Parts: sequence; structure tokens; C-alpha cells
Amino acid sequence: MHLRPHKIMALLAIFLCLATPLQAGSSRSLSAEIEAAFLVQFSKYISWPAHCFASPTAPVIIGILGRDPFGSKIDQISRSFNANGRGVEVRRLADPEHAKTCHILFVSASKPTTMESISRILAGRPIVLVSSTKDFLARGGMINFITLGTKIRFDINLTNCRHTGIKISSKLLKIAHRVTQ
Amino acid sequence: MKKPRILLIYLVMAALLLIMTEAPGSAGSDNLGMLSLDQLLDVDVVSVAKVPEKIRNTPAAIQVITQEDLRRSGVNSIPEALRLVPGMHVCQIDANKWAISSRGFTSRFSNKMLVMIDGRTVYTPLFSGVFWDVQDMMLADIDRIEVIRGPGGSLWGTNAVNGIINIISKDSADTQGSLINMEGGSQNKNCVAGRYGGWLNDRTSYRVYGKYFDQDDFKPSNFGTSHEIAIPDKAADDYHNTRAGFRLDRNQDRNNKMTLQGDIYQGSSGTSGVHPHLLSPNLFVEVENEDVSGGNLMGRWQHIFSQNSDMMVQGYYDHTKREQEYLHETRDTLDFDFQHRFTILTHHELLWGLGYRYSKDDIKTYDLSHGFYNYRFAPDNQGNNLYTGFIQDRFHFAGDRGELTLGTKIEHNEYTGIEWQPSIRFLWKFNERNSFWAAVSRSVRTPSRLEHDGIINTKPIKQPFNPFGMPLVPRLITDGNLNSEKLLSYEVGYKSRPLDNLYIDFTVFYNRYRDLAAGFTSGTAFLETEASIPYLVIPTKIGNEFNAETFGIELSGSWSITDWWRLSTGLSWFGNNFLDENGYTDPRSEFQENSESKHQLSLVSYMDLPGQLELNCMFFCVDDLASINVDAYTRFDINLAWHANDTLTMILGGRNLFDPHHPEYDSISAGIYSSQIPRTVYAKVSWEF
Repeated sequence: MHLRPHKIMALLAIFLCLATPLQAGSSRSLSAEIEAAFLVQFSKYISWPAHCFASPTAPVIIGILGRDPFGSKIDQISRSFNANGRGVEVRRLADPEHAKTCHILFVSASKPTTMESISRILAGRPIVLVSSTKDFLARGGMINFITLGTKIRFDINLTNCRHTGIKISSKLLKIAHRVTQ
Repeated sequence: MKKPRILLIYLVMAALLLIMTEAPGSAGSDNLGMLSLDQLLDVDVVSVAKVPEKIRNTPAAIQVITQEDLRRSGVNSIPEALRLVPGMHVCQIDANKWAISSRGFTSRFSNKMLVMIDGRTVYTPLFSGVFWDVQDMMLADIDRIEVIRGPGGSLWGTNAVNGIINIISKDSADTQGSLINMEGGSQNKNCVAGRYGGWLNDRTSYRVYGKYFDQDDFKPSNFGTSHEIAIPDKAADDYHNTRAGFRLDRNQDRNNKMTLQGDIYQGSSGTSGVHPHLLSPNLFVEVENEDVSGGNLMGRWQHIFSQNSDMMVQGYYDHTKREQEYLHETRDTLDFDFQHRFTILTHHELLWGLGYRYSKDDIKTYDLSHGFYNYRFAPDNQGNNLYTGFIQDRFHFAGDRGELTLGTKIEHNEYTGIEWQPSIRFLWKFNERNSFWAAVSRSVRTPSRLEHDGIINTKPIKQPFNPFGMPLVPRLITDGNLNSEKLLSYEVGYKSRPLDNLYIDFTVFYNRYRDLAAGFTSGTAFLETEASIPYLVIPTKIGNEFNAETFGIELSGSWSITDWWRLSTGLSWFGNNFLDENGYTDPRSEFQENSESKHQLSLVSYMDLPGQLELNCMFFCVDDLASINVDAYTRFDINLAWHANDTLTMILGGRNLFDPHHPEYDSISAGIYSSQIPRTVYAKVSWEF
């Protein structure tokens, strides 16, 4: 077969069109970064009973249970964040027993124990359980990150928030992808 | 048959247009924390690599090598990575030595470039320059390398005359889990490195790493011929190094962050040393091993007072030891720095700082042969204090469109006393996409320990220029009155983002140097009988004899054609004139003028292919260095990376593929017999779990 320049160009054009929908290599770390930004933002749109804080200006504590997918980015984002007059503090945890003082707990995909035992330990406490693992809401979770196309969204399970004193603002419920009552 | 062709052309154009307009223009990832909840919903997880805000709005010729650049380019050392910076002149001398500078004065000890790793200076005061063979770390743990071409004395202090290279490692929170890297290949570095990162408690992250590499000999260059010495059989520039280190980061609370880090290393760097000799041919080449070792420990505390005020305190201790054949140097450095930033009168951001450094050396020199020596130091051990302070005011005007930065550094060193390094920088943002900047700065380079206290015997003068019956040796010596070299630099630049996926950076500079150090004959010859062969000494004084002007244009661009293909390019032109304003005509001025590469071109392509493959290419064209007989060369590197799964990446690659080998720099007059840079192929495995 004789390849003339215009044939090469045409092949190149077809190749370019075909290859366009590929995922860029760095998408995994960028998803984590967006999730980190959401996580910090949540502290502004959720309210906890007053007894959960030592003082009116005490920070909202975000715990990360298991292997941390966010790295220093979440520390940077939280450092300058103002959640209705409170700051945000990030803590990494290896044991769900230590999560009892948290306000938001992100449960990593690689966690030290099963979701069942985590919800048992933290049952009834005003701690917002967040994760990006599948079926998280069915196992007692409250907010679950999902990837829709190229965007990050989240589902909310209000049933699991009942009797904990946690109030999720209407703003957050409005932008959530699915809300389970 | 005309019609189908026209159709095809339309098809191609349509496809290209589609691709160009499809590149998403979502918010960049450098400021996710600033976005609102609604804005976060619109952020794409697949976004085109963007030039960070910081680069676009800094009134300087700043360039950043990201971790992605380090990974995709396939480079295996920090000096090689600097080839990616447009306008940077990187010459590999042999397997373990480099001559690196921007805007001229390139040599093995490019004394006008300041290099720092995490805020620790690695510029050696002995020769004024950097021993690149020991500046290493796990490349995967580097967050970025920031390179500023041009003076930075007002912030960074003396010796940041032609540029600053800042190597910044990742926060240990970002290097969690295990990573194992292995590389091997032909004529190549064989390298194995491992890192493990974890959390000590809910606020403290850490990592530890270890790295070992060894590299074979290159081939010797043919430069011996022009220096009338025999070409050695082998380059003897093989080297190996073992290092280990750690980093600890603690987020005490939201206003306090602490970092503790340290490294130790030990290795051996081979050299074909070239030394003067009293007998003909007056130079001899020798296989040598430089034993190198060292370590450092650094602590840093960052504290936020309020949104408008923060500070940083850091201290480090650094120990280096280098045992060359005829010169042993041990150096201990202790350094403290303090910085405070605050905003006043809403538009003014003030940054000021104080610093102190104590550097103590112990130098041993040995005779070459017949009691004849190359270097001696008087005194052979010395401790030096350096006191620094700086203040900078950056203020916005015209509704944040204009920005003016005024600043100066004041230093006191023990060789030249007080040095001032003021600068003024102006930035004007026409709009979100276009900005113009201009700067005038003064920078100085202080004399090195060698220039201040060294006694250097150089190559004896040959017949027929030597009418005496005995060797005639020019001896360089200072009278302790050597002043610093001074630069007054004028720069203008334009940064533009004409399309969401296209970035162009254009800089023009004119530099005027005064009081450049050089040797000149002074006094009458005398007989030296200390060696077993008596010789005549021509006293040669190092003085501030030269003035020079340099000028150039630097152009760089990066184009994210699609979200799977990115191109970047750099083009630079450089010119210089050495001026004899003191009435001297020295043949070295012409030599200097022609020892720089006048033109350079680079083209880098990163492509994501189907099947989790990446194809990365780099192409460099470097002009000749006429006065040291280095021909122009092109270099082509390529690699194919396969991300087998989330944890395993395999890379096959080649470096310098267009050429079996070529030399990049002749360093014989500086005591090093240069090698040829070979063509290499390599394989690399990276396992993260």
C-alpha cells in the first residue's frame, strides 16, 4: 500500500478523533482533590448539637480513617477555611475508637476494620460518615461520593442521620445527586 | 481525483478544530480550596494541565518542572531534569559532572547560579558552584523544581546572580504507602530506590527512603588533542552513591505546621583528573576516585497569625566531605532563617526576614609530583559568618491590575563586607490572559574561598614562549582585596494565555556585569626551589578586571492540544561582549565570548495513548561552543510507559538516540577530562502499593 501525505493526514485525523475520550493519567489524584474540597465545604452546610463543641469557636474536626487519599491538599484547603465562625482541623485515624471526637469522618477505601463495626462503634453519635466506596449508604453511611461522567457528585442518606442530632442544610440536599429519606 | 483530497483536508481541519475547542476550560486545580460548593460541582476530574497562577503572575522569568515532567521525561537525575527548562544551558561534562547555568557564565562551577533543596543551599563556597553528583533524592518525592532565570539577589542573597534553582520535596502526607523504583540499561545508571510513608498519629505523617545507584564509564572525548595530551583509554568517570533520608510533617493545629527532615549519603565519583606538570607536555591525566559523603538535618516551623500575617522559622545543619586526589574538603554549615509576611494598608504585602549562616571548612592539599602543587590554601581551615536581612514591599494599584515590588537584601560577609542587592519589579495585568512585567535588579557574587585564599599553580608555559631553561609557571594568588562581582540587570517579559490551552512566555534581558574576577600578570618572575625541579613563578593576581554585557531573548510555550496530548517548547538566543574598559586586552575575553551556546531549542511532547500507555518525547538542539571545540548537537529522548494497573508502571526508553555519542563540554582547562555522552536504552519499573 502506498501512503500518500493526505492519507497519512486522514489516518491521523481519525486516530485523533478516536483517541480523544481517553482519560488523562492524573485524573485519580484530581478526583481525590475535589473530594477533599467538598469534604471541607461540608463543614459549613451541616450543623451539630452545641455539646459537640468545647466552645463557640472550637474547630470542626474532620477525621480520615484508614489510608489517606488526600495528602497535604486537605490540610492546605482546611487551613484558610471558615465554617460559620469555626475553623476546620484534619486528623488521620487508624482506629474508629479515636473517631468519637470527630464531626465528619471520611472512611477510606482501605480502612482498618469493616464498615459494620465502624457504625456499631459510632452508632447514634453526631458524626457525619462520608466515603467514596460503593454501597456505603446501605451500610450506615450518610454521604457517599460518586463519579458521574467527569464530575464528582454525592448521595445523601437522611435515614442514617436520624436520632444523631446532625442537621444537613437544604442547600446541600438540593445539590446532592440522590437523597434517601 | 481532486475532490476527495479537498474533502480530506476539510476533514482534517474539522478534526483539529474539534480537538482544539474541546479542551475543557474548567477551573484549575491549583485553587480548589477557593471554590464554592456550586463551583466544585463544575470541576472536571479530567482537566487540561494548566500553568499555575503563580507562574503567570510572577514578574520574573520563572519556570516550574512538575512531578509529572520528572516522571514523563524519563530523566534520572536532578541536573538532567534541568534540560526541560527553556533558556537553561545544561552541559554534561562526564558521567557525574555537569556545567549548568542560565544567561551565560556556564562552567563546571557556574558561580552565578544559586541552588537550594528545601531551602538548604547546596552552593559550595569553596569553588562557588554546585557538586551535582551528590545533589540527589528520590525523584518521585520531588514536588517541583522552580527555576528563575535572572537575578534574585534581593530575596535570595548573594550568588543568585544569573538564576535560582529551588528543588522542593513533597509533604510526607503526599508520599503515603510504599514505592519501589528500579532502573537498568545499557551504558546506564542502574538504580534501585524505595520509600515508605505512613502516619505516626492523627496529625503527624512521615516517610523514609533509601536509594542506591551505580553508573558505568562513558567514553573519553577527543579534546586531549587540542590540549596536546594523549586521549586516555577510558574515561574513568563511573560512580555510585547510596543515600537514605526521612521527612516528618506535623500539623499541630490549623495555625502551626512543623517539618523535620534529613538525609545521609556516601559514594564515590570517578574522574579523569588533568593536572599541571613541570615536565613536558606540562599536563598529565590521571584516573582518580573522589570519595564523597555528607548529611543534613533541617527543622522548619510555619505559623499563621491571621489571614494577613504568617511567619516561618527554619534551621539546618549540613555536613559535606569530598576527598579528591589532591584536595580534601570537609565543610560544616549551620544556618538559621526567619521570615515574616503581613499585609498593611490593605494593598501592601510586606515580607521581611533575617538570616545567619556559619560555614566552617577544613582543607587538605597534596603535592602533585616532584614537590610541585596545584592548589594550596592559606589558611587551610576557616570559619565564616554571614549575616543577612531583607525587606520587600509588594503593593497593588489600579484595582489589582498593577503590582509593584520593591525590595532589597543587605548582607555582611567576611570577604567583602556589606553588600546591597536592591530590585524593583513591575507587573501589569491587561486582563485575565495577558500580563507584562519589567524589572531592574542589582545582584552580586562574593569571592569563593579559592579566589580569596587560594594559591594556584597553573599549567607551565610551553616553548617557544618560554625563553628560560626551566619551567615557567603562572601562579594565581589574591592579595585579599578581591571585591564581589556586580550585576545590573534589565528584564522585560510578556506572559500570555491566548487560548485556554495555550500559554506563551517571552522574556528579553540585558545584563551589565562589573568587576568580574580574572587573573592578570603582576610583578616580576622569581625562582621557586621548593620542588625537586626548580621553576620560575610568574605572579598572577586575581583582580576585578573585567566588565561584560550579555543580552538575550527567551521564548517558551506550552500547548495542551487535547486532554491527552501536550506539547511544550523553548527557544533562546544569547549574546555577550567582554569589555576592556580598564585598558586591558586579554585573549580570554574572546575565549569567554565564544564559550556559550548562542541558540537553543527544545521540544517536549507528552501523549496518552489507548491501553493505559504514555508516549513521551524530548528533542533538544544546542548550538556549538566555538572556543572550546564543542560542536552543535541534537539530542532525542523517547520513552513508552505502560500503567499496567493502579500499582505497577513499566517504562522502556532511550536517551540521546540520534547520536552514538557526543561531547557537551570541554573542561580540561578546569582540571577534568570530559567524556562523550552516549546513546542509552533503559527499562524502568515502578511499583506503588
